Amino acid sequence: MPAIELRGVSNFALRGVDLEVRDGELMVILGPNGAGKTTLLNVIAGLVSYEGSVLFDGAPVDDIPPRERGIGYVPQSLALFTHMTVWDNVAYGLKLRGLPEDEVRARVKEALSLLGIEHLKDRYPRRLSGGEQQRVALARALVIEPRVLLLDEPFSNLDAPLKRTLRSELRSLQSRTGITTLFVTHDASEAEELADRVAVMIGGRVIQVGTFEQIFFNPSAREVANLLGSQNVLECEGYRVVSQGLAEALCGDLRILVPYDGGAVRKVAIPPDKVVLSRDRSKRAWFNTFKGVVERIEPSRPSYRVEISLGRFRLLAMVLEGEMETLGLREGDEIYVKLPIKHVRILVDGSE
Amino acid sequence: MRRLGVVSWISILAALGAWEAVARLNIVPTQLFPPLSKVLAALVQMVLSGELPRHYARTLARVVLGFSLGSTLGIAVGLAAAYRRLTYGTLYPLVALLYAVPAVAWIPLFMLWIGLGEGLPVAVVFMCSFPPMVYSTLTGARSAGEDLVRVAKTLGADDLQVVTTVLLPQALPHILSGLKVEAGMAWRSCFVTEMVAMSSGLGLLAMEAQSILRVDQILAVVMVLAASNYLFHWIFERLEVSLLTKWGVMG
Repeated sequence: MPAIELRGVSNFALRGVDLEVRDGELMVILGPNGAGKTTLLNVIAGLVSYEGSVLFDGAPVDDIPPRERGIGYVPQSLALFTHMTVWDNVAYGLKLRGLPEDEVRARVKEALSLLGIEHLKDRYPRRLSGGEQQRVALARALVIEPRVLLLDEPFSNLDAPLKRTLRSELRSLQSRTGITTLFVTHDASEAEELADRVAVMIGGRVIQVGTFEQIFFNPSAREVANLLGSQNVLECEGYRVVSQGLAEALCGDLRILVPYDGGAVRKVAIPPDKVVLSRDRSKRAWFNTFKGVVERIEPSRPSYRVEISLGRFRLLAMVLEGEMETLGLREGDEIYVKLPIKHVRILVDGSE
Repeated sequence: MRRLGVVSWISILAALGAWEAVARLNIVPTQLFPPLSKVLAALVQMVLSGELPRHYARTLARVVLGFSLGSTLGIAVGLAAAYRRLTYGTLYPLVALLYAVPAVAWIPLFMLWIGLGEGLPVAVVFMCSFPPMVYSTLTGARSAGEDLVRVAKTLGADDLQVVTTVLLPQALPHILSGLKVEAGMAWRSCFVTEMVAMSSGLGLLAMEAQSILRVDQILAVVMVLAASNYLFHWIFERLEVSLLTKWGVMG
């Protein structure tokens, strides 16, 4: 039985959303700004009105107010109570439940140490760094032992290294606690790193659900491919293992070297911004370089979208403006296309 | 800050010294422009006679009563309006209109409605505190943001708890800065009401002194009024600063 189920949920931002989230799963809701991701979380929490039905463990919760739904919610703004210390922020939900004082103390302590912020307990939120605030917000949401954890772009305001640290912390925290978690983001790499499964939202609808790999190699619409950076997926007919960790995939007329660790290679993909174009065939690094024809050039600031036919495939390359000037590309030109091996991804049998 | 404090004191002392000196030069008749020493003597004499303390107590009671009623109710209405969109929509235009009326403009109307009893200055002070406090509270509570309310609800807060544990504390800095300004306004409105319509209080004292050409007494009363005004301002300012420092907004 799914832990959370949405049936035909509609309101000002959602247009008939159906979604099943499995018990204990970390599902990433991936979509561009304005897709209705935050509203979806608010519907699950019962914070906005909607038509349709939301079920927890098979039972409708539509008439249950937010405070009784058992939700741990971390909004994008974090919404820490600036007038309370870290300790009081985390204790807030437990105190409202009227728990005895020693139990409150024990559980707050546990939550603080779980997130490694015990030493901050007497500080006020404004005196904390971004990462520390993040941890406080998570501790406050987890301490009430929610059935469902809702995280709305919680790491969007942090720098990249801190983001990575917190992501992996969240991943291990989630698998230890086993709380069904919905994580909203517009960043495909975040979805790839965190998700058990991904639900792609566009224009108020959930349009595709699956593992990141499933969606990446089988995007159901062009918008989905654009969102994940998987516009270039090449079907392959065979493969040959070259050496440890390396194989040659046979895709149409192309023989593409790919990173390999077992399984039958079915598809090869390269993100459009990783495709390298050149006028001459490089002598030093000739492999994975193919001759193609420029079919279409379209400005898409700060880059150009360049469509290249490569045998039976049509490949998209995103080329920066400066590079474009150096190349002097025009539609109809012949061009060498290099697929750098470290950016090539493969789909093997059994993983789809 | 300390250095600035010294400079400020010097400038105040210099002004007082100049006052004393110019008044003693007798350019203007001393009766119309008495020196500081004479004003202070009048002050001491009015305190010792018991006249000033008696009237001061009346004014203080009126200010405190009207101000606490007005601001308490104003804060309550402001919080309700911040929490309920409907209340906001219905109340806000009314409060904005009331805000536009200077408190002392109610005096003629209230004289007829309430009469010349103790209710009159209290009502005027109330009308002086209520609309601005609704406004400050509303602004403060709304600055807390929707997400804070949402999180509180998911953590288990009911409507009343959202107001008392989130909206009120979040609005507190705005409320305190409102109180700071409005406390001074309360003294002013009360003083004017007493000048126009009352038979007791600091305002009456000033009018009586005027009728017997005692400029020194008028100035003594004005000094007391200014000091009280400043004291109230100072109290709320201290509260505001200590709160904001604690929360890490200042300092």
